[in-house]
Amino acid sequence: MSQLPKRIIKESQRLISDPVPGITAVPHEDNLRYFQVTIQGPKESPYQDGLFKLELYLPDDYPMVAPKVRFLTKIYHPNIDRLGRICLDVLKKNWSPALQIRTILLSIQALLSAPNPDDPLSNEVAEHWKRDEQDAIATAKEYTKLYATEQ
Amino acid sequence: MKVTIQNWHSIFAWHWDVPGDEVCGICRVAFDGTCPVCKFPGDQCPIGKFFDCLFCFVILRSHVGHVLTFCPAIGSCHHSFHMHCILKWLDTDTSKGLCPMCRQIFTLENSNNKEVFEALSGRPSPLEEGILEQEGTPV
Ligand SMILES: [Zn+2]
Ligand SMILES: [Zn+2]
Ligand SMILES: [Zn+2]
Repeated sequence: MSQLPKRIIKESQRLISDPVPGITAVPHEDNLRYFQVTIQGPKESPYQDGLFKLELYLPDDYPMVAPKVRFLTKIYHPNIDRLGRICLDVLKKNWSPALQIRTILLSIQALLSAPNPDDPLSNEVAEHWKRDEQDAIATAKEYTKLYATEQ
Repeated sequence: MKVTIQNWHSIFAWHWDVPGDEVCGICRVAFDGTCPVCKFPGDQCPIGKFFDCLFCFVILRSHVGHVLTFCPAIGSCHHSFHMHCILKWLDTDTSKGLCPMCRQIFTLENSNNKEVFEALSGRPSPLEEGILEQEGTPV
C-alpha cells in the first residue's frame, strides 16, 4: 500500500487530540484507512443511551470521494437499512473534499436526532414512521435497548 | 578595519503568494510542497508527465514556473488549491464544477494560471496545437 497522505494523518491525529463529544474514531493498527467508530445516541432521540458501532473506510481516492461508512450495530431508522448503509446526501451527491471524517460523523449523529422518512433508504421503516410515528419511535427505542446497550 | 570579502554565496527562499490559508483546501498540504500524488515536479505526476513538453511554456508564463502541478489554483472565490488537486476534483461527477469550499462554480482568478489550467484540463491550448503541427499530424 502506498504511503498515507498527510491529510489522513492530520485528520486522524485531530480526531484523537480533539475528539468530537459523543464520537470516537480510532484507526485500525493494520490499516490506517479503516476506522472503528462509536457514536452515542443523541439525547431526546429514540437512540438516547445507546452506543452505536460503525465502520468507516477511506477509499484510495479520498478526499475526491466520500468515506464509506456503515452501522455495525443494528438500528431502527428510516435512513439506515438492514445492512447498516446510510442514506445521507453528504456521503453521496453532496460530498465535497472540504468535508472531513469529523464533519461526516457529526452529520450522522445529527441524522439520529432528525430521522427523515421522506428520503428513506429502508422503505419499511420509513413507511412505519409515516404511518405511526409514535409506534416507530417505540420500536427504535426497543432496538436501542436490545442492540446498542451494553449488557 | 578593512574587510575583504573572499567569497560569498547567496541563499534564497520562495513561497507562493496565496490569499488566506497556506495550505490546499483539499489535501491540506502547503502550497510550497507538491500535491499528495506527486513526489517530484514532473517525474511522478501523471499530468506533469503528459505535459512535459509544456514546461518551457510554464516557465515562461509563471514567475517561479517550477512545475504545472506546483502552481496553486486561486479561485475567483479566493479559495485556493493545488492545481492537481482541484483538477482531480473537477474531474469527478460529484463536483459539478463547484468549489469544494463554497460550492460556487470554480473559476480561476489569476490569468497566468488560467493558461496552465486550460492546458492541464485538456482543453486545446495554442501550444498543444503547435506540438501537433510539429509532429506533422495531418488534420
Ligand atoms: Zn492539494
Ligand atoms: Zn500532482
Ligand atoms: Zn470557493
